[in-house]
Amino acid sequence: MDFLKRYPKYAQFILLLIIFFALYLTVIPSETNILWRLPALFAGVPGGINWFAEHLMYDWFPVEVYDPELEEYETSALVRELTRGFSRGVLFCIEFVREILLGGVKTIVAFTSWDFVGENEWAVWPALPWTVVLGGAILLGYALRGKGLALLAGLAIAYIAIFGQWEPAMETLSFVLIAAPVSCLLGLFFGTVAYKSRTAETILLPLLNVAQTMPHFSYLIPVMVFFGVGDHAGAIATIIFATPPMIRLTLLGLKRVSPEVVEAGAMTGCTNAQMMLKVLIPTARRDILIGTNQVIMQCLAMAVIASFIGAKGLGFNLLLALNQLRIGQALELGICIVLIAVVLDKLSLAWANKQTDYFADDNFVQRHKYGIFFVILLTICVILSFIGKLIFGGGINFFHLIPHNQGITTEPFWQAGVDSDG
Amino acid sequence: MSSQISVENRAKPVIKCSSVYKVFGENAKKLLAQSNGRIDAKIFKDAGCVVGVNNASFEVYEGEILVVMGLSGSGKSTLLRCISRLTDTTAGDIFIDGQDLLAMTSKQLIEVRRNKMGMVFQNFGLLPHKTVLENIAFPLQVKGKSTDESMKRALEMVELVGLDGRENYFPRQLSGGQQQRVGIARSLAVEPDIWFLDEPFSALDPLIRKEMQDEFLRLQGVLNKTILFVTHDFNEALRLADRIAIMKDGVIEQLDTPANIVLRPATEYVRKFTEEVPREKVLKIESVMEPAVDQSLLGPLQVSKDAIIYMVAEAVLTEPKHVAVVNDNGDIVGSIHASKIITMLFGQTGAYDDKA
Ligand SMILES: Nc1ncnc2c1ncn2[C@@H]1O[C@H](COP(=O)(O)OP(=O)(O)OP(=O)(O)O)[C@@H](O)[C@H]1O
Ligand SMILES: [Mg+2]
Repeated sequence: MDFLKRYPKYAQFILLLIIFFALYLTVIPSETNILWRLPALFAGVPGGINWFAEHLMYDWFPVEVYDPELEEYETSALVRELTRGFSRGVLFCIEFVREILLGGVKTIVAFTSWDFVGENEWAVWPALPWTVVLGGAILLGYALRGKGLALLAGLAIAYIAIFGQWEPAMETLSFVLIAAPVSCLLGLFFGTVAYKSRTAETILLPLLNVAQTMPHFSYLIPVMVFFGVGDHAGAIATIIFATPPMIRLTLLGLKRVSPEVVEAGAMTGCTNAQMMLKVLIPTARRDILIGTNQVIMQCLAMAVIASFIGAKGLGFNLLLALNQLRIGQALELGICIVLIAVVLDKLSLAWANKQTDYFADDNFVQRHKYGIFFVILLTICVILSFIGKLIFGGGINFFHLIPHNQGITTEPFWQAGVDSDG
Repeated sequence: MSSQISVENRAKPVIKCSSVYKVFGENAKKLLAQSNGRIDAKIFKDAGCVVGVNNASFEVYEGEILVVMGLSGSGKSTLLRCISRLTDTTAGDIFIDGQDLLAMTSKQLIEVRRNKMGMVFQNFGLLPHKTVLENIAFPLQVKGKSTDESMKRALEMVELVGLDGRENYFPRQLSGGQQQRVGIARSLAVEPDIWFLDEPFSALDPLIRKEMQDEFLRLQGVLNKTILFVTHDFNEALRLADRIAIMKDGVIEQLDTPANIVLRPATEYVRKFTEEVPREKVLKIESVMEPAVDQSLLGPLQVSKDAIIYMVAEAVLTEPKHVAVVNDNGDIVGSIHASKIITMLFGQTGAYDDKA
């Protein structure tokens, strides 16, 4: 007893040794002995999950849906129809932005039909000349912040165009322009809900922990099961992945708003909505902006991963380039992704920090000067692209769209390095 | 300070509190119900509760300035919060213009706050993302006023508090005093009837503070609001107050006119609290005058019996003869001599207390 009291650590150690040897000597090593191998209690679980997902997607709750293409009713599962509808919605948004930038017919098809587009040759949305995007980015940068941001935006866009990554970059951009705002809004929404209700917070926090520690790739399988493959699936995976940090930072920011500010808001007679939108969220802006920054970074980080499940764009090309060991191209693509991320981040930051001048006694032209500039820019660039058509004749119209890999590239330089090594 | 509350105003209190309790803590309501209104701070403390306001009953009349005083932690801010319903009172009733504040729906409360109440916070409570102008215009915009209109009004308020040229500064770019002026301007932008000020001038240096007090009195002269004013500073209270409430550990020890608080302290605590107060700043000539003397002994100078001694002391001291004390109608009701003022100012305290 005295020994136990004096050396508790040794006593523990000896006790553990005794237990260890006792087990070692008594447990018989046999596959049927539960003390030796835990029976495969969970062996059925993966199969069960598979069955469950399949059942959910194909059999559970059958509903009649009308198929406009076949012009007849079909039986389908409810969940599948819901996820399909959702996918279509997301895909439509992405395609819409993409076709504004790159042209195409899918948006028109969405409102009419493939037959209509086949019959009418004019029914194609023309691609925006890259010069318009360049000018627009410069203008936006200037309007939101000033010369510095205009220069940065201009250089980034010019780089992308000149290095012949225009099309994949715009595909990625269209994807990010949908995924990032959706993530931000969802994050804000759940963040405010968690701020308002303790219960929501206690439910959300562990979920966030799980979501943020899960490897990025593990999102892809369930998304693929429920939403299929394509840009929309990539966007959905990205949204699921990018929202948690936004929720966290929104919640953190809201919690840090000083009680005096909340009271001041209450005393001015704010309704709940005014309190949230005009007092709390703007006051917590710093943290929330870090959240949007995170969202944008995550979206572009997911660009490559999302290409595994069919997202087009820079990520996909990067994947190909890596598979083919085309280091030069991979490098240029990587820089494109970084540039898009930086420009989007800076623009969103500048937008959030923009101040209004209440006493500028502006006339119509001054008030709408950026809009007017943009219209002028659009006209000039369109004319320029027609001129380009004349100059370049049947070849590539460099004033309109620089096709993939038709720009200048530093690849031979890097490739030479790789080849000589190999 | 010297505005007289007329009798008709007395009939209709703007703010009426009856037996207001605020106890912080988990089972405050239960404990309070058990204690039957008699609060033993120790029992509450053992139960993990803090008493913020303890049985406050008082009324504030239209156009009156009630100054709430007390040491740090005595529950002044909590009292103000209860009356503006920023915290829920544990027990008691509060009426604003006869309306039961605690029974109001959140919609009614919002209406009252938008139109009737203005508050200046101890730590300013400015919105950090808004400029001076936007902060001041904020209550108006919340009410749904157009941008043009609210900015115009905000600009007037900026001028009123002397922040011209700093309209587009952010709160973090302003000194404490300037921030507090923004807070004052913001609380006045909607022209509230009831004005709560929680130590509004504490962050200011003495010079600016004096200036702001003058400004405050000037404003009050024009606007004639009903005011609850919290301060630590007795001199400030004396300058501004119609009545003073002295709080200790949540209890209102005494609520009375400045002169009565100084001359007839209701409790030992109030007596100690007011010990150091210069009496000539509180008392009226009336309380130290002597019976009228013969006309031949009187000089040309006359003072009102309601004048504060401190205000007229210099004039009386330069008058070699006796000074006539007159009432509102100009009738001579007494006299005073410079020697009396000298004893008053430089003699020992207490020599004249019995006179009042
Ligand atoms: N939210 C709260 N929770 C718990 N106790 C509180 C809370 N707010 C205030 N108290 C307590 O109530 C008491 C009164 O606080 P109050 O803020 O009213 O003091 P005060 O008189 O305004 O002091 P000061 O002059 O320092 O501003 C204090 O003991 C304080 O600890
Ligand atoms: Mg206080």
